[in-house]
Amino acid sequence: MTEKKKDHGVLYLGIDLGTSRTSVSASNGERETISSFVGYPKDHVARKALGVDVLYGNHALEKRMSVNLYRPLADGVIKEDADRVDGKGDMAGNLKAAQDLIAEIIRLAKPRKDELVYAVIGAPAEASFTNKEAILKAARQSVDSVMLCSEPFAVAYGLDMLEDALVIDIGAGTVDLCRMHGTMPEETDQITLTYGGDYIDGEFTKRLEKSCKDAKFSTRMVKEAKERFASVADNMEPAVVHFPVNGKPTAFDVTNDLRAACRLIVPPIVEGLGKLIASFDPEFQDRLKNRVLLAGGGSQIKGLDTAIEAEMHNMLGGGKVIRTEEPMYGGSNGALKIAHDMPAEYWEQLK
Amino acid sequence: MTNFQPHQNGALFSPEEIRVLMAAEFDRSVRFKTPLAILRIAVDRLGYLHDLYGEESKNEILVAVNGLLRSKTRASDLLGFPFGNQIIAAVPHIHKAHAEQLAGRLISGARGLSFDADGRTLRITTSVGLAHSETGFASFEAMFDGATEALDQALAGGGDRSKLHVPKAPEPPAPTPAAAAPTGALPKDMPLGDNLLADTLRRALTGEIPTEQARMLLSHIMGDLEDRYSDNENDERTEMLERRVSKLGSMLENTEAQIRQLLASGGMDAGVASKFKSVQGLDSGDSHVEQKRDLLKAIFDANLRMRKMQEGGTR
Repeated sequence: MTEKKKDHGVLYLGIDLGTSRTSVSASNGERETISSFVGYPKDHVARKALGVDVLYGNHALEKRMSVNLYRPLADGVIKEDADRVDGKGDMAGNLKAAQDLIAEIIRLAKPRKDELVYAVIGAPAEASFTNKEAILKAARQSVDSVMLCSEPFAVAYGLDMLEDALVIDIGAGTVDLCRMHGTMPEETDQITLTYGGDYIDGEFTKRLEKSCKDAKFSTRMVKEAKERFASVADNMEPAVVHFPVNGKPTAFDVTNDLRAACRLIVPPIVEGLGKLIASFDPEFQDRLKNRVLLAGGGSQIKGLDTAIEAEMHNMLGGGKVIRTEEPMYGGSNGALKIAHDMPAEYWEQLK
Repeated sequence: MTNFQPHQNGALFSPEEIRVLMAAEFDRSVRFKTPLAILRIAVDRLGYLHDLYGEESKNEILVAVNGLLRSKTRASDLLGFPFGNQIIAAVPHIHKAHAEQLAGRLISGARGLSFDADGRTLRITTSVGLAHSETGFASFEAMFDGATEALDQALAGGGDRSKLHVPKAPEPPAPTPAAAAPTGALPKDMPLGDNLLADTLRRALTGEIPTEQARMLLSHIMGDLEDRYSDNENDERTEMLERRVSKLGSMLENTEAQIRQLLASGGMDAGVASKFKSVQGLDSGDSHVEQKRDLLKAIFDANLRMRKMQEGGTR
């Protein structure tokens, strides 16, 4: 940070560092979200043409032919042993991309030079020490003090659901299930599943390859179709997409394929909920089942709350699912609230 | 001879003045059999530079080229603007080889000129058309036209070069009626796919026209075709280079706009002020205050442990 005296206020930042999207909520009213992509120009020519050293979010994705593209938090954590988006392993690159992504999301919150900046970052529950270290190191370059907390806990804290609640945080890389019982969740209170948005994309792609013969489509096109039409409802809106066939855009009705792919995540989620409920105090199990909080980008799948309730009814004898109002900012809003409530002496000690 | 007002500050003669003076110089050259060279000098793509950088830059370029011309010629040489933005010089008592050297010095001198336009350095090139009395011109007008034609050739060749006017070869002998159709230069608008070449060959082979005449006709046709292709290639290259210059200019403008914006904002965005002027902490009126206090402490402890591990380098 600069040496300028910081005596004009305190800016709190809540950051949700996600596989697919990274969001920030700030106490100056700023809220921003970007796709978790970072691109670096492939060579000097690309650097000259693009005019920048680093590209972020959809801009990086759009220029993917000219950049080395990183999705540093694939599978929910900073990839330490593989992969760049193009499949070339690059651990150091992923770490740097994660650090640049954090610096960018902080910049988007428009911090002032004369204010103290305190940030809480919702990190994936299963992030390794190296991951957390990299995240903290990156954040410290832009803020005065920073803390990490678990993503599902941040969501629950933001909604004041700290007791007897189950949080389902559906991200692109993972689905985090977290049991809240008035204290900090421990290892046994959390389950991480790999049935997130990327899993749906993969299953949807497999089905499209069979049903849309001769059509050419990319992962990005599949993801766009999913984000637009995703639903598990029986009477979902017809999902009609246009894929090129021999160069000609052709309409395909992918409603059934998309619904089938989206429905695949329901049984494993309910199975995970069942494990957390079964290992809880029997007297409070019913209360836990009726306070299931659905959060994260994946919670935008239409009819998912109803579908989980129906599956819970079949497997667990009942349940009530509440959907968060702001799936994009649920994590960052919760992290902002934690930052706001954190006593001053704690921030001081971590400077 | 017309009396002209003395020129101030090294200004060039007007078109009317220079024509009269040069016609007199030509007459003198014929009368005393002394050599004379006429040079027409043009700044390459001056119109385009004018459009890009404005009138002021264009005038600055012309003044600099004028200065260059003055530095490379003698006080007795006649310099003026014939029309438009081209400069003309009449250089008496100079042999053809030396006139060509002078043209070369002008071109290389122009390459060394640089101008500041909108904060960037601008470089120019020039083209020179040269006509020399040794070639044998019947009148001043013919010599002037010769220099003009040579300049046109230099510009058509891509600029940044000089061309000496070379008189055209004498017209071939009048063809026999049978060979009349394919003689002469190819019409500029004639499609290259026309069968002129094949037709001439056919007629030569069938004996319709004598071999010698056919050879001359074919040579003529090939010469015209080569000229035409050469012109096309140069036009395409010029167009491509102009497109590149335009594109680079546009990129440069964008970059400059970004730099200006950054400079104007003092190097970075001032940011948006937080609504909090001091550190807040947990509200004592919160319904879960005790519980939250414990949770916040747990988060802090975990982060403090991590911090200590980092500082201690342990895992």
